Amino acid sequence: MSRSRWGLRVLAGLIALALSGCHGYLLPYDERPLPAQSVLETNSGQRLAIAGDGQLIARPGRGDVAAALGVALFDAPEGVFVANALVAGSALRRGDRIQWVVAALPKGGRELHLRHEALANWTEEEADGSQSSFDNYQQLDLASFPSKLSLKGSMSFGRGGGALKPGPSPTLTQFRGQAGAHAVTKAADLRGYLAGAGWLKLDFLIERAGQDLVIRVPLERRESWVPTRPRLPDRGRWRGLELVPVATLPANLQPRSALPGDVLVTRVARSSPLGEAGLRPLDLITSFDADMLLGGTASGDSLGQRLRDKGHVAIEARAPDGRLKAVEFQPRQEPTQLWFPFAFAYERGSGGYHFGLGWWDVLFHASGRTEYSPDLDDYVETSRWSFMTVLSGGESRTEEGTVWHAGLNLILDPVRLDYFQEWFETPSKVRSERGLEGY
Amino acid sequence: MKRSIGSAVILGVSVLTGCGSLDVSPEGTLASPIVVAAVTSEDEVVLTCDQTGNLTVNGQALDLPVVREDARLGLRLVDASWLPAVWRPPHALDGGFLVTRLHKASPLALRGLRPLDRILSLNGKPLGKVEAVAQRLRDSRRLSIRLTALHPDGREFTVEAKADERVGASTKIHIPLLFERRRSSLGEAFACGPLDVFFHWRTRRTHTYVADHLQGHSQYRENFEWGALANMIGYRRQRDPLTGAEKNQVTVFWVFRFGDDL
Repeated sequence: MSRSRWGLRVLAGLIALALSGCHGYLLPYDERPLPAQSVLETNSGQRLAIAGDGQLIARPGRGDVAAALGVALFDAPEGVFVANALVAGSALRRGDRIQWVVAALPKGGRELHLRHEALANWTEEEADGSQSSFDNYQQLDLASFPSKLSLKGSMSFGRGGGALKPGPSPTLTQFRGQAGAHAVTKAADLRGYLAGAGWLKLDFLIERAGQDLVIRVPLERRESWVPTRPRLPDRGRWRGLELVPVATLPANLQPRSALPGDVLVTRVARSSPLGEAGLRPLDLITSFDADMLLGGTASGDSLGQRLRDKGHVAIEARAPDGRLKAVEFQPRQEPTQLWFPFAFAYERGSGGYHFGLGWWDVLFHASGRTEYSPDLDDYVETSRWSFMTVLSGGESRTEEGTVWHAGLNLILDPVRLDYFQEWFETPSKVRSERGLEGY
Repeated sequence: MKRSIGSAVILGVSVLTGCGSLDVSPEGTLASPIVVAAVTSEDEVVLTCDQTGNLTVNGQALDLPVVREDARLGLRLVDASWLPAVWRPPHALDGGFLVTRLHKASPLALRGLRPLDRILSLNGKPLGKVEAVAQRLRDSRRLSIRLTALHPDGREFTVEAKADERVGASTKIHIPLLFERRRSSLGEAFACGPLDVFFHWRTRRTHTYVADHLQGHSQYRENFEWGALANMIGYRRQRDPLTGAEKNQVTVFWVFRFGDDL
């Protein structure tokens, strides 16, 4: 695009803004899924979770290290045996007896130690330590440290992650001599290693056909997608909700705490008023409430009717940890926009409001919005106001507290700067991630 | 030349908008110390916490049950009983709950709790399972809380705090050239005049990193200060909240200082 055409477009945009007031405060509907607050245990001991893309997944039960190894284990008086290999190509085979284990940890512990020491020495000179030490920590250069240092230790374990290929093993005595190696007398002895699933490898001394072998087996995050047929509300776009009747899930994947007829929440959009009211994926609700949310007619009190009446809806949900939650919300409304050039602009939707007087709100401006913050895993309520552009204030309310500010501005108006920054950036960000347009 | 212009611009903006020198807002979390659980012939096994409150071994995050109370205590714990026995740090060989994240303004941090400390009891009762601990912390949010904890060096101690204020709250009112007022859970401040030239007053708790990784690199001080006439005359007092040690200093004509070295 030529420079002159670009300039013309900017000029046209400015004129349009000047004539119409600062519209566009309301953000597009953010349909990205909220995360679950914790996992949900199933009848079979597996754990239901929500993946980053909002899919329902099943993870092995906490401590089920056999699943992470891709085998089935059983305890016998002689030791722990592999009952079956559940994954093709598994290094462990049926009939193997696990005798000893040692974790092949990633190297770098010594460097980490040195970096911490350097951090402590560096920050000692800082007066207030106002900058996060993690920033400094990241800036430390590993290469600047001497490679050979003698460090004292009181005990030793772990073999440092050196290459180890399946094959004839060292003797039991040699294996046992390694730091951190320990005997495996029951499958529960391996339970804790599941904390490192996804990156950790275990070296096993096994007995196979009367021969001792050492093999290395990675601990995988064996997650499986759970096929579901979610029921969607009539106006799913407005509520961002997906519900799965528990009875339609495979029997082994049904939540242990579910009651007959319960419905599992599998998706709640960030912009959903239900999410703002506290409903999260993996909560359980009753079929009665589900019918109402889905706009069905079973309850005779559908959300559609409430939507027309603009009333509040209250349901009760059970969190994965068993807590009861009262979820009270107002169904999402169609946004309202009113404006009169050079005089006033008014917008209101479920996610926020904006009111301004005068050309570009120079006389008065007030706005507020509620947005989900992934960092806090909570909703942040922000409100701002300004009068004649010089007197301004606002607050940001989160679970951690309210940050409140007000005062005079002689040369800059932070309210307006924030406003324009969000106005330009946020819609494009939401649109690029989910391909959404408009509200 | 460019630098002086830049300085002049910054000075001008500061005069007009309030310079921010009276900052009392709490931000960030305490840096984690490390615990060297073991040393091998080739390497060390190091436990520490990452920025999001995960326990890590040699920098790799571990998937452990977590207890969170971010709002009023700024605290996260993990259940170390789900660690392999050979990875447990010396002060938690039998498991227990380890602190993995602490807000700098956490009332517990101000009273000496540090990341990687092990919590032994809550309000005099031993901790139970993860769900029970979470529930008890939630119930304690508007009450005084008493924790008995164990430092990685084996020192047992008790901290008491009242979790009645949210850790991230702050307030600021400013009128350029006239006055500025700030308040947060870490302190409060007041100043009048451009660049606080007429008078300023501030009380706050500051956090400093120290060269002692077992103590979490962290040290808090309670500071009180005031100054007048562009700091021509001023007074500072610094107090260690754990030991009660106090230092005082008076400044006259900017360069003449009397009292303790601060």
